[in-house]
Amino acid sequence: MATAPETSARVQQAVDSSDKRILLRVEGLKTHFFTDEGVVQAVDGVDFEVKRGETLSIVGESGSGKSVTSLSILRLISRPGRVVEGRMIFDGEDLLAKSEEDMRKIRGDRISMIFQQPTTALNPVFRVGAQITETLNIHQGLTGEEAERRCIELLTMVGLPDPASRMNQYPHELSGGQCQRVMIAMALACTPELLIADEPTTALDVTIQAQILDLMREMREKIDTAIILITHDMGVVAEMADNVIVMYAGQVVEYASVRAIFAEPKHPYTVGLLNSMPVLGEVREELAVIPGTVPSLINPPTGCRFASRCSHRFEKCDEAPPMVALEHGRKVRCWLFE
Amino acid sequence: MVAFLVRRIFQMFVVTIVAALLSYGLLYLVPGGPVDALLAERQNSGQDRINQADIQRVQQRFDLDVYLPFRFTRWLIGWPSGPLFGSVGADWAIGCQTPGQVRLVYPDGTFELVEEGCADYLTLAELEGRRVSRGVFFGDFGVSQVILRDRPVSDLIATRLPYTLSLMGASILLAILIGVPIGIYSAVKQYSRFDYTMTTIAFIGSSLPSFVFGIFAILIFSVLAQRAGLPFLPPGDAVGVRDYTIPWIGTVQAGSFLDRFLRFLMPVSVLTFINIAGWSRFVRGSMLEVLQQDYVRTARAKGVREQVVITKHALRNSLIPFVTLLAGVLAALFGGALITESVFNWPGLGRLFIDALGRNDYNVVMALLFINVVLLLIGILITDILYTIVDPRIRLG
Repeated sequence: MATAPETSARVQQAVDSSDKRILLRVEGLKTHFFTDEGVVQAVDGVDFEVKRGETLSIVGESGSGKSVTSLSILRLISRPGRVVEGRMIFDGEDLLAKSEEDMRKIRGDRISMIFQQPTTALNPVFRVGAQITETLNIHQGLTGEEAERRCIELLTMVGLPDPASRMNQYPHELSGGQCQRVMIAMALACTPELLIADEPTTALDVTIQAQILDLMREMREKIDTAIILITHDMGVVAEMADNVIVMYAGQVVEYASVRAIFAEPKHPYTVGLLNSMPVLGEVREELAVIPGTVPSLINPPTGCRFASRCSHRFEKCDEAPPMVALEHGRKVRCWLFE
Repeated sequence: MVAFLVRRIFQMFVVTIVAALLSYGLLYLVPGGPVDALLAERQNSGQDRINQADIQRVQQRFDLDVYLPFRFTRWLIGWPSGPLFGSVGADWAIGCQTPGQVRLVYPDGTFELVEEGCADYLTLAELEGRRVSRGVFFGDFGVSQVILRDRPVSDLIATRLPYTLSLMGASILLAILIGVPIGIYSAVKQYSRFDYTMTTIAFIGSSLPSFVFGIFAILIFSVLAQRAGLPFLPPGDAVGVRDYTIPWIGTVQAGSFLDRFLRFLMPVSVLTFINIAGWSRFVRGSMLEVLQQDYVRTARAKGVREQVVITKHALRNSLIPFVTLLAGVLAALFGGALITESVFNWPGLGRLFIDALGRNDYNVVMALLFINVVLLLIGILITDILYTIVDPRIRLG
């Protein structure tokens, strides 16, 4: 249970990794899509760790491999995509080595996920109550009134008004924010150890975004779940995350605590990302942008993948930079810090 | 719901009348008919065999001397059948019994008789006592004018209906039972060898015209098989006239169950094949679309078994567009297969329609068209109601 004073302690703790608290360790994850145009190396050698109760944020532009990374963890990549390499040690066991049936038992129970579009993520032809009780039935064997009672509890917990009648409604009868509350209730139904939230607020109105973020924070305190929060919104990162991973073109380019990232971003790409964030009250001629676009992931550059857009580029950047470990557990993939 | 039904049934009523009016009008424009058939006979058998009086009698019997609008209302609701309210308008002209003739004299002295105007009008009073149907709206389709002259159309339809119902019922049922699972499996295993095979076959099935399959089936399973001394299937008809012998099976008695079954096999297989192609392609497409949806991913992320993801979460959604196709099934069930029935000489309603159309048997054509329109409208109504059951987002209103 994390309370406010503990939060800063937790940030410190994130840096020295005591192995016991590590919930998920992803090592050298490569997920490729075998398309007619060629092999898209959507995720190309990603490493990171999530500790119990930690909120790890993965940020990056569209197409940087954030979502594919999260779907890879649940092994929900469908053809023509495939996890080609790597290990994903969840609570001491490699998820990639598990049978499909064992994996299915983990999904929704120990690792669950919420998605970007809450209105389309719920099945339109089933009542929302039935969709929640389905999860309870699969993993906890709850049926009938028992499942219903638990469902009402969950809906009350996520702050859906009048849950007993709401659960008999169809998704189209709820607003986007209400649907996301239902999704969160469904994801938390079995008190998972890890919750993957794939841009959970992107599709919502700004006021609703804040409510959903509040709710997620509240839930994190309540059931002590670790969260992988995927987003491209640095504001969300600042509000939610303990530690941050910055992804670029299928690779992790920087890893640091949330304070360090905002106080002193190291990788030129991270600097660019932060500069392109509008700041309230600050007057700028125009919003800073990072010139250029993400390189094709079918034939990624052999050297640093960000080099073509980087203002600090030098000869060495033609070689692929290694992940450089810095003080306080920070890591950065850039020749500048070698 | 009640308001919806009342409104829809009123709409259906209007649509039916408009459809009937249009098809009646179109049919009127088509040359030929019972009188032309008589005239052709006259030409073939000498001047004196059929005279003007015969023609008039035929016209009278089939109401052909009544002007089109009145002929239509007499056909539709059996009105007017005489002077209104017993006496009003007894001398009103509503038709022409004998066309007037005009003598056209050319400058060179030759002349020509041209029909123009009317020499002898048909009045309302003269309609009295003439046989009239009670009207299509009251279930009386009148009598056949050519195919079985003077027999009620309903008799004609009743004798053909069982053949069409059995043929269409069996093929549609088989096609759904086989085609839907194939479509689902094809979608789930997209790009697999099974999928490629099935989509290719379905593509061929739905692009080649049905008579091609019929004729090839007859060629292979009747003609060539018989020539090769293999067991063969009778090439056509629903019931045989003569006993025949099939290698390995023995003598088949004409009219026996085996005879009927063997004759049933080929048309039903051809129709089933064509229908499977359609259904499986449709279900595959709809299923593929649904499998891309976010909620399918959610179901997987919840830990739902893949089989349940397909059969519960995806299938239920992919059946929504499928319901649209069902609207046509009811009409198809009674409409018959025009081409396949013709190819196999199958005495169903489809072939009856083609016969009647070719020989200008107006009442038969109109009866079949009318029944089809009504069934199609009922089918659409049922579909709309079914929609609200399968898709909670849709409301009647």
